[in-house]
Amino acid sequence: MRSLVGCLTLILAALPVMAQTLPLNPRKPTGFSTIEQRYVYAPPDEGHFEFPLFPGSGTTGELLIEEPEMCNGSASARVDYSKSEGTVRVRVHYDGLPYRMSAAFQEDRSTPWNQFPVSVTEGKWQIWFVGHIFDKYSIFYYDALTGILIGNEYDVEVEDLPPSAIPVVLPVLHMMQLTPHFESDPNTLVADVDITKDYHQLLDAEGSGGVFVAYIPKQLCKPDELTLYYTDNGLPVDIAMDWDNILDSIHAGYGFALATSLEPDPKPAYLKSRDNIMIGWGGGYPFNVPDGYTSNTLTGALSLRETCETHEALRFPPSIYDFCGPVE
Amino acid sequence: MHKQTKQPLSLVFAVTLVTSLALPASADLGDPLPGLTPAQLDLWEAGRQEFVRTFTPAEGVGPLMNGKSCIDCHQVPVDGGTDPLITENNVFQFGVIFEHQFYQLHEVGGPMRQRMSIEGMEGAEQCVLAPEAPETFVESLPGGFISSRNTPPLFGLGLVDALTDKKINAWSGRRPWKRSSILGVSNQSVEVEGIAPQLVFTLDQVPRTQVTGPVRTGRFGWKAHNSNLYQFSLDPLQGELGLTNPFFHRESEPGIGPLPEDCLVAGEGVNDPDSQIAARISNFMALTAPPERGHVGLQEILGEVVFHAIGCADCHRSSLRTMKDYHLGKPDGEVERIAALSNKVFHPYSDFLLHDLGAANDDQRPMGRASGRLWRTTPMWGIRHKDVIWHDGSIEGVDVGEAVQRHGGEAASVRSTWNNMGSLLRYLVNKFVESL
Ligand code: HEC
Ligand code: HEC
Repeated sequence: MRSLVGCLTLILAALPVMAQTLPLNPRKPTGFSTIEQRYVYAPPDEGHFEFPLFPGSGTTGELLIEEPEMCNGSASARVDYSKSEGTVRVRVHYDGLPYRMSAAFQEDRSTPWNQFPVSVTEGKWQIWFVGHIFDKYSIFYYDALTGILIGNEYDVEVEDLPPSAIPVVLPVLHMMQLTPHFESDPNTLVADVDITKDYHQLLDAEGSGGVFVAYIPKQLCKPDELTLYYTDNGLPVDIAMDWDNILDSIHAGYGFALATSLEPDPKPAYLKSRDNIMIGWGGGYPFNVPDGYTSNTLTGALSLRETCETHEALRFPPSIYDFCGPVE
Repeated sequence: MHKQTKQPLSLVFAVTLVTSLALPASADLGDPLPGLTPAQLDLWEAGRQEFVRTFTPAEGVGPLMNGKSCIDCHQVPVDGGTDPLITENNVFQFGVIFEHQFYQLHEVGGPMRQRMSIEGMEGAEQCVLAPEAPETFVESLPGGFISSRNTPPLFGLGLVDALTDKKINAWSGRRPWKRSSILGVSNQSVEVEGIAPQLVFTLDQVPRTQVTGPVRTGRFGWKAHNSNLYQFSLDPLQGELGLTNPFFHRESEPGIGPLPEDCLVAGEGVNDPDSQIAARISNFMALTAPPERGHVGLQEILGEVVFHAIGCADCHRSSLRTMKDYHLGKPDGEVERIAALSNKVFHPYSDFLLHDLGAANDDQRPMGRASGRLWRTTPMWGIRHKDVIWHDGSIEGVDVGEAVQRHGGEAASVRSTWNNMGSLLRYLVNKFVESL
């Protein structure tokens, strides 16, 4: 048992540093280019930007939907924002959005923390508004006796935690359900979405503050073996995203994204505020993947797209570290 | 009403040729840009002195490093050029790919080899620290790899710094003027302003950080992983020389343990606390003139026509224009518009985009959006001054034929056009490339 405790101290010395103040912290990024003497991307307060969406733009562990009508089609998004009017308007146009498609994983992808459907029959679509790509942090509780992940601060009651529970601060992605279910015209496969939200309080279609998504260790002894984790039931309204902070995040180089997920209709209660991990059209701003390339979902690195078919993304690899080793 | 004068076509051609070649005021290789003001020439000179300066351990070089001066590597045929030891100074990126995931191997000094240490140098007599030698073990690890990178020349980089993101991105992806197999994608990085925690698993006692700032289109480095000269001055100062600054504030370490006390001879804090050395060096690189064309006769002109006709220029883009107003960040924190870099047309023979060159060129090292197979189109200006070409310096001399054979992936169709065309046409392309 001694070795387990020893290794946990080692890891805990490593993980929470993410939240510590850094030794040096030069200026907060402004998004203003010294070289061009202007805002190169997304000016503050008032502005708009456009970007294309591409098939199969999901991430690790997800089902990447790439159907022939998508590879032959196109989709694009436009975001208009106005601080003076207090609005963020998102318009998305799809040409080649599969109609009532069905899809399935080879096996159940549910985790001890989140349930996911194995298959979807005649699904509809939803858009996810991804405002913060791992530039926010949240507390996750782990059991110091076993090293096992208990859950996020918004999913557990502190009073109910075992005495051995320890808080670890880890990065999260903050997103929200932008739309209720929608679908394309069955004849043309065209769909248009036009939705306006509150600039300072971006609430999801259910009226909640959205959802945190994290790629975090399941078990502290194997800190590089990650799992996908979603908070359930919607985040509190008072931590909802604010467009000002999203602009800061774009200016600091983290970026913004939209993703379109295939959803069961009706959605089961467990998926109320989060997405089903089957992803079709998606794209990011300011940088995007031109048509013809596909990205490694683990590293984000690109290579030529050689096929067009719905497939399962890479999964998180097993750990190469095991700090607990065989317990004495 | 104006009078039409008729001239023989050959004369028009000759005159155009002469004027186009005479257009840029001439500068010898390594000289400052023509047209700088006296104050700008002072900035160039102050930067040049830092660029050629050999730093001592007391001034912050090391403890682990790849050189004591920028010109240890960037020197041939003049300061700012390539490796005096041809490939000896190649920089190694190393790591492990396990189940498609890239591990930087911080535990053993990754992801960049430091091939020297200050052990035994003046002022560091007590320091005991072995240089890193990943080549002795990495490739025997499952999934282990080393990516060896040759030193590129740095002439004319101010013009590249002065490209808008839009200009570079306008050429990316499928375009009507390109062969259908040729795409191209930009890499991305930031203009440094701040730092934030890096999302990487490590057992370090001090957090690893990444730089943050306005996100910009990449253009520098073999993987276009860097977007501006200021960053590509801060970064090698720390990464190659061990001279830390507020943005790259960690010394390179041989593993996860702290460096031996006796090797930390430069005192507390970072070595270039106000990033002054970095700012001066970036000014030097920005204000150095591009390489001039060599001899251009009819063969070279025809060679360029063939080069375009067979699709080489779909990636090796001949002409680009810089932004209307390019602002140089100066060491005093002010910015100044540089007329010599604003609204100027130049001829780098690169689109500064990444291209998938196929599995044979996979160096395994992801950098930003560049996977192992993606490489930045190498600017070909000044190629005639090189001893070796290709990212690892593995092609001796300017052997265009061999270089073309290494172009797979997006360029495979262009390679087969090359292989199917007559030797006269290949000869002409060679002549053209050798004139750059
Ligand atoms: C040990 C040899 C070495 C030293 C010392 C060195 N460099 Fe380099 N330099 C390289 C190599 C190798 C590359 C290519 C790196 C890559 O892209 O992976 C490079 C690339 C660059 C580039 C990008 C050029 C381009 O075409 O995009 C710049 C700018 C640069 N170095 C500046 C510097 C400065 C400034 C210094 C001194 C502070 C320096 N280098 C010191 C080897 C060196
Ligand atoms: C798909 C884009 C593409 C096309 C088309 C292309 N190149 Fe390249 N070229 C590159 C890239 C990318 C590199 C960098 C390769 C490396 O070093 O790994 C390169 C490198 C080179 C180099 C080596 C430069 C150096 O200094 O290391 C030469 C020479 C060259 N190309 C010549 C040609 C010729 C001749 C053609 C036409 C037959 C051609 N290229 C077509 C993308 C392209």
